[in-house]
Amino acid sequence: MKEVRIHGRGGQGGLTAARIVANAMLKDGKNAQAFPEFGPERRGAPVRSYLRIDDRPILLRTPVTAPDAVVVMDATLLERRDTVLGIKPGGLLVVNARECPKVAVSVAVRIAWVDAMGISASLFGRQIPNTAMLGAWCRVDGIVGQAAMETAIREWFPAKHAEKNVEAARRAWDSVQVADLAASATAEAAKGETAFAYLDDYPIVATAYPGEGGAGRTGSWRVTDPVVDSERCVRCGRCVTACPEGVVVLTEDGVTIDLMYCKGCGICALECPVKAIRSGEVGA
Amino acid sequence: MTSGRNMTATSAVAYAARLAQVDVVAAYPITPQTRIIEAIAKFVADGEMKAQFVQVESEHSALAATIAASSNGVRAFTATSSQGLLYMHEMMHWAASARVPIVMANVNRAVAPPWNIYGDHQDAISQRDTGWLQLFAETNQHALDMTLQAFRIAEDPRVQLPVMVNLDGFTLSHTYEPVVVPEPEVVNRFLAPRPAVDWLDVEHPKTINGVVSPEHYIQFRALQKDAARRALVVIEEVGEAFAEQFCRDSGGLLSLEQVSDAEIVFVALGSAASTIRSMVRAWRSVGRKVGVISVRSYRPFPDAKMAEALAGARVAVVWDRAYSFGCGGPLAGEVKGALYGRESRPVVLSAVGGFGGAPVGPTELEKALEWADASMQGRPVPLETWFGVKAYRDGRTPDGKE
Repeated sequence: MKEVRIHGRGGQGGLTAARIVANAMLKDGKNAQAFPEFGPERRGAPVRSYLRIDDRPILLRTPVTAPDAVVVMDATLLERRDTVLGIKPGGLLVVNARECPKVAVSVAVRIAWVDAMGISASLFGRQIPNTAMLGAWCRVDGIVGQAAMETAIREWFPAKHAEKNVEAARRAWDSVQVADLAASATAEAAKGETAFAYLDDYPIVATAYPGEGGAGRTGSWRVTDPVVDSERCVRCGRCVTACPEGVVVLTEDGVTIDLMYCKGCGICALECPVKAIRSGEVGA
Repeated sequence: MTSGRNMTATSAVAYAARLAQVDVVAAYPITPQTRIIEAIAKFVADGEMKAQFVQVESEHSALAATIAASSNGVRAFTATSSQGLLYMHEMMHWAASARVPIVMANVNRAVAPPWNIYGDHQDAISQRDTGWLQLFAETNQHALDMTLQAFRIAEDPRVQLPVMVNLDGFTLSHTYEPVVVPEPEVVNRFLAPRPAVDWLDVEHPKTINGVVSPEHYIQFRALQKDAARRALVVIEEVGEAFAEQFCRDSGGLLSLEQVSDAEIVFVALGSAASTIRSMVRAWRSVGRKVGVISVRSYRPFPDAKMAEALAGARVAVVWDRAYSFGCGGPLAGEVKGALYGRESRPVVLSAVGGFGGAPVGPTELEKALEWADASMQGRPVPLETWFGVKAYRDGRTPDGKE
């Protein structure tokens, strides 16, 4: 049995990628099990999807904890320790990145990277890296041949989107790079003391106090940054009321946006009547 | 070689409702069930299903409308989860005691508080004594197959009781795996239209389910009790008929794997039984005498069959994903009850865990096997163990009853 874990952000199509491969597997006479891990399943939130493939019917019904391959749709997720956790020795790590990403793993693996961001931006004008990542992953993993992969993509998407997605997968197939990644001692970092190490640390009912949410500073969910042109801004305040997170504040000079919690949804840019806000590259 | 196509258990159930040619669907959305009624609403809107889809304002109303429809003699279906099922509670009793053969899919989800949308069986178990028959699916294919069987069981004149088909939230409801959707003609040969009933008819007015005195009240309960016991026979018959028609074993009361010569037998409901099967196959390959019983019918509870199946085992590990507070694991209690008075019976260990989406996976099951081994070797072990629970600061664990 082969087990794969896909890390992405809500809206990047990680589950779709798993389902496309699952459909290709079914055609090939194999059994597949594709499923998401549900949590804060909002656009931009870190999400996981799983895929199991076997010749026999798959009976195991638990999340994948020791993956043969880990696919990372967004390189910023490598900052989270759980992204590469449990990857098998000699396993495969496929990352959406322009250059070989810096990541510490506790066992030796193969690492592959592809500029799925660039491919997605040039073909779709936005960040939907899943089919490009699918192309890179299939090439280096060998689970699905190029023709079968392209057929599965064509069958998935409506005709008007199919060829562009096939092209994204093809470009990634051609441009993916692979290297060996040695085991690193730093990957064995301490697990960190949880606030609830013992049963008597818990209150008798689940209790939360005002403050930072359980998901933490959600600004890391963004795939675009809102950029304000204060020269253009007329201080109408429409962005303030439109922001679903309440992080846009009207100031004397225009507006400021709290990037700690902005999720980059782009509603402020869409609502701005004078086009003073645009969605720009993260951190630019 | 596999066949079918990749789909979730929620899609599989929606296809089953369509294939069963359900006349009325009244439902209210709740995660993780919503996709069932979304799919049915689309079938109806697209003209692929000739049902009346009733959007209601609550689950209580959903079941009330379904009861009314079924009382008129048509085939009625609904679906829910967790809090939605609990909100139906009054109508749950009503449906069973009014003897309407409704089929409901319950996508098992934990009960709040604290809020949790993931799978466990507390929702279904809390409706245990309402009089509904309860089936549990292990796979997405079962979810489809059991829903079809449920109509035939519910509508059998010997039964005339509502049936709940349980499928685990997310583990089945949101997982894509191969499912074979049978052809309508084949389903029609298995599932005839609902037998005619003349309960409500405007031409011949009458009152049903009115007030009765103590002398009579218990008579209706006795009829209901006998119908539920007769379902033990009907469920097996329907399971056999299904297997003959579709060449798949996805019904019956219990599904036994490697039980006949097993020293240790696991007993579980739903998708956990599937994971246990995979472990049993691995343990068998290294010579361990372990088996598994998947309880497909929780109500009626096949106590005699359970006792026979466990007669040769030394230890039974019964896995509960629900709890009766102040008492113990409900399924474990029922297995113990089934064994009462039997000369040949195993020690029953009650494993509790897999709450709110926590896994019942290889880690937990290996630990449970060690526990069963210790018991078999005569070492003192707790009779109940909670899996995935932290220890108290003084080192005590919540294992065993104090």
